[in-house]
Amino acid sequence: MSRALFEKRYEQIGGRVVNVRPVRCIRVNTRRISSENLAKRLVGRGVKLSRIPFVSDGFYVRFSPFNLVSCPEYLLGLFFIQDAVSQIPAEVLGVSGGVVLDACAAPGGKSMQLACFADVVVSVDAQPARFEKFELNLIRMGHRNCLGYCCDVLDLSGCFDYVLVDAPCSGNYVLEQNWFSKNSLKRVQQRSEIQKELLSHVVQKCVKPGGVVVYSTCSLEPEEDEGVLQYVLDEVGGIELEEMDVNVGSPGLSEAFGVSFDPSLKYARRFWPHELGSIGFFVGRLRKR
Amino acid sequence: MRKAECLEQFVSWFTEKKISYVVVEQRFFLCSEKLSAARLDCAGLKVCGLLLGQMKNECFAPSFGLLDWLAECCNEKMVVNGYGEIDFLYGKHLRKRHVVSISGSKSKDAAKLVENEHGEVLGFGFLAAESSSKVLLNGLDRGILLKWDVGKAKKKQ
Repeated sequence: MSRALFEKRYEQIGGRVVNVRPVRCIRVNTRRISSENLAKRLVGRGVKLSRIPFVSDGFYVRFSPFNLVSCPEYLLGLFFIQDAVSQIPAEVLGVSGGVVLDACAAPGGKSMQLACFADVVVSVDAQPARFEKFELNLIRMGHRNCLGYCCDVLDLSGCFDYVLVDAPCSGNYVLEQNWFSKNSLKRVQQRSEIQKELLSHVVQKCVKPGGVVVYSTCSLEPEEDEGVLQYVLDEVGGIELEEMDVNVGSPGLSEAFGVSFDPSLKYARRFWPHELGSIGFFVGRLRKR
Repeated sequence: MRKAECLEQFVSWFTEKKISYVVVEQRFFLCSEKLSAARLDCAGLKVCGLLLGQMKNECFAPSFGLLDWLAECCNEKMVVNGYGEIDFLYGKHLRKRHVVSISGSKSKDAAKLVENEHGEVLGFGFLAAESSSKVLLNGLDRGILLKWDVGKAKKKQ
């Protein structure tokens, strides 16, 4: 029942359900090595790589004769295993120096990416078990410019130049087996409420005027994506969507299930599994006035 | 195998340079003005930059961050070849055939950072006696990161 329901919903908004096995991807720790040099070393070990065309330091791993997490380059923190589209949010945040808040940081892939470009990254996650994973990754990657807080982002405020909100979401059917049976519209709605609270708080209390906020989820549900951005535009205000330099994915929806969205939501991008062969993803970039 | 009683003693095995640190929840982090300025006025701080290590069973347990910091300022190093790199990361001691070069003290028990031929720190160890078939006894290697990962995964199950 649930699968049919979601399939029908996706059809109405330009998507469809397909069997996708995303290609494993890595992102280079450019604080430690250049993309070219890492590629040279991994290719020397028999790994077959190809560039991810829409991010700056990512590779598809086409073949590896060994488990990547056991090779010296991984243990030395020269790369991070991270899905291709998951590398987009930190990239479109456009960080160049400054202080960045990663509001839902664990397990840390995006924080590690931001640490390559920021002066300071403040990484926050409320769940202790997930935070431990973040700490392990930070030790491996060796970044020196991260502060880590295990707390609820709703309890903090600040004046950050950039904020990344990779919000907890219902996920998508490519990421998780039995996703359809585990999810319902009620769960989607519950997630949406949490996301609205989170993004509203960040926009009001954590970003400086002129600062940038990137909102992303790995959900394909409009209630968790365009719906959340629309809520913040309407209820919080003082913020606008910006165009992003991303040449893949589809524009954000202008309407879903009888609800119309602000025309500027076309600047957001959704990444459908059937179009990219990746996990599902959504990204929008906002600037505080 | 030698154990350091504190961070300062561990650092003194490699260099006379002093290290400034901050302590967060009984763990040592490299002092950084930039990070101090960016600290938030809220509870829950767990990480404050580069982790240098922590006390475990009354001994100092160094982190790889400290070894990276030491590599920038000390000469107590052993450079190993590709075979040595793999063996060392698997927790093994190093033998003559693994070694490309040794710098600094040559006395038994001298602490050495172990680097690969790219100048990346794999861990540290102690020089073995000349009579031994081993050249360096493994003190800590980055292979442990893999074990930590697996350990966490098992705990979750």
